[in-house]
Amino acid sequence: MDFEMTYTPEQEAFREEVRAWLADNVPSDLGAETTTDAEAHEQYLRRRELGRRLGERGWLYPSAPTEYGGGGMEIGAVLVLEEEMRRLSLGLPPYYDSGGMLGGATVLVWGSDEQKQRFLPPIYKGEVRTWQLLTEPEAGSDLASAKLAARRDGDEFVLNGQKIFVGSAHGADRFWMITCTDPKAPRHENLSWFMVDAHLAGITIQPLPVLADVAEGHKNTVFFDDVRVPADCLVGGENNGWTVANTHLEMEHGAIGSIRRDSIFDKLLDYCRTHLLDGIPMIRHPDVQDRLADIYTRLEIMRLLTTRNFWRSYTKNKEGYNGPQVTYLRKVTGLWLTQAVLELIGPAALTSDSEYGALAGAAERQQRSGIVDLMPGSTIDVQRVVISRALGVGKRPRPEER
Amino acid sequence: MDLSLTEQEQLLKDSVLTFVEREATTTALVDLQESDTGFEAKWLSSMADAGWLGALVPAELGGVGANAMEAAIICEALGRGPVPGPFMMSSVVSAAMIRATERTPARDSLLTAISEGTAVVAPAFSIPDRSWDGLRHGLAPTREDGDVALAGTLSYVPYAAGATHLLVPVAEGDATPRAFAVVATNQKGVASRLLSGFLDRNYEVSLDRARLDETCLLTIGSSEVVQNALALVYILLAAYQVGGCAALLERSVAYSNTRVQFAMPIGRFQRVQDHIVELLNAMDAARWCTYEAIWRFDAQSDEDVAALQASAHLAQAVSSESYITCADQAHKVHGGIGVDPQYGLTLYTQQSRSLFNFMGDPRWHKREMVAALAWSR
Repeated sequence: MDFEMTYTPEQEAFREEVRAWLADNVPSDLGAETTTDAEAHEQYLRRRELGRRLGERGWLYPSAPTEYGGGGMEIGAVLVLEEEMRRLSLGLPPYYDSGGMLGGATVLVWGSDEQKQRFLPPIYKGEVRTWQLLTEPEAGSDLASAKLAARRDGDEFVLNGQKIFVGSAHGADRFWMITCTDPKAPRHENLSWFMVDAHLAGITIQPLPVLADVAEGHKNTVFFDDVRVPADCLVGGENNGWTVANTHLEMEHGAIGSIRRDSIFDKLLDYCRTHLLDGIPMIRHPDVQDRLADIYTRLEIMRLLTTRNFWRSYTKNKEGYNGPQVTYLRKVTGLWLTQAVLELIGPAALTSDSEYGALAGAAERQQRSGIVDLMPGSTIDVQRVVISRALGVGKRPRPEER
Repeated sequence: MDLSLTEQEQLLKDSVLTFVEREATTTALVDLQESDTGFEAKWLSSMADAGWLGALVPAELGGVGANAMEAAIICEALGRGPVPGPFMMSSVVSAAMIRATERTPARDSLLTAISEGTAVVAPAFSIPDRSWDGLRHGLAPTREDGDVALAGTLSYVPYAAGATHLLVPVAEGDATPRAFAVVATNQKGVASRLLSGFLDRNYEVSLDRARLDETCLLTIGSSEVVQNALALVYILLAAYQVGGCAALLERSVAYSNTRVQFAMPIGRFQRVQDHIVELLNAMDAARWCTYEAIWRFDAQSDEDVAALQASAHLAQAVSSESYITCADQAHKVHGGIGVDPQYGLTLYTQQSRSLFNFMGDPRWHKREMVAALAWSR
């Protein structure tokens, strides 16, 4: 075995190329935290502009097929790009684009040739930002009970209903969404997916604040009031949406993996080294060391399982339960960490006060995000079910056993 | 990066697993619990022939000179049994520590005998009322007519009854041991007493002025050499624990799919699934911490000694905790049948508890990890 990631000379040469290009094209403050809404919005627009420029080179969606505007690159080169973006505190894409990532990949599987040509290049070239719209007030973990109505009317579908916990701040251009196209049909045979122009008449977006600053600031409720969507925006077959959803959800439940470390540990260690408790540095207290050791241990386990997933993706050798396992553990570890950090550094972890707040506000953010992150992409209870299925636990009984 | 086994490693794994499936059946292991020594002496020759007993013995002394990965593969596969007895204690713990002593004819021939299965050496490292602190305590030797004599008690000596020798750290007063005494178990002044109860085969060994000639004292190498040997032992114990965790997962999944209650396999119940998910997560935590430590050991260079030490302590801490978690979750899945000693689940439960404190509990290992990472400097 070899746990060290090494790069080929070609990949290292590519890194030099990427680094030089990013130095020329990315303003140094683009990865910085913003303080006002106006600043945040302006930064978002600049990140979109960067997205378009990355898109021109196939670097925005580097692993997507070139025929649809992606980079068609192998995973090692993708990793190089992601690493170089992260050095600038930016992701890839450098803005929230859940519908582009998951919707794009699902369209690749389920879209007609014409739909792939129409929907994918704008995503992969950074011309549009896409949100995914799944959750409804009465359809959370039970996505199959989605009720947002899409009624056929000639060459169009008419959409009515509501989606919640959607998107991010700063709006979107496209919605990748699941709807109910036949309210009378049996469960799992009544759903359909659409790629919808977010600017159509009848769409209202209402900000929905949550405890943490997720997705560029907040989530939204989106209301659909007689929104007329062309029928050729239906992807994957009418009433075939549950099958299509499985493609989408498998990606959303999974974790592709990475070889990153969670930076919060180094910040916590630094805090304990530089702050005094009862007259001596915190780190000199044995109980502080014990608590830090427990945190380090949990984060090392996460790092190693994430590395395992990365390697399995890298070698295209996925094992069914690995993805949901890491997603599940990331959620429960994040929640566990909130209390562990509170024990370690006390109420300084709960305030963003410039004098008292620990880790330059990162501790206080983690106290909130550790809770909020339990939900997106499905609850931990759903993840347990997904893991169990992948393990082959709870197989349906054979007829003679029923 | 490559996290797979090579073809050779996979063959080794398969061959050990075949042995475990054929020989170390649940029935055989349950029967062994009632035997005098707690292990099957006839396995020694087949394990010697296969090269497993000499895994850590250098090739020039008749062993295999395996790297950590190969040794770990054997340990993990035997842990699946869980195969009790001399392999882990004699061929891993004792052999690794003897390897860390200065070369003498007596040392070399002892290592050869371990690899042949003619010597079984039990590590007798535990001194009553002394905490484990990485081999920092020993028995004080005295001199009698030019011989060395040892008197005192060693607690929690694993598999002493079937052993031919004991490996005893000797030290003056509170000093760090500078030598191991190799004490033949059949000599005058050596007595052992089985500790009853849930603990796996552990003995109290009493030395009543047991006399040894000078060649039986093996001088321990430098502190770096000892730390390196201990790191290997922690990692290989972790691999053995990982094997137990993996077997517990397999058995629990299989049981959940075949045990029918309320007219359906119990695995259909989400509360049962929850136990299995926790078991799985604990197993993978132990497995991947251990695998990285193995890699670090085999790839080590002088610069990353601290990283290797930290990684070995992490692997041992996580594996000890995980083994108990896996056993506990498996009991929740299995219900009543799980506590029937004939059923075999308790073999793992017993190992999970018995290894928890052996050569350092998780808290101690985490503290050593902190020291290796030099956080407070």
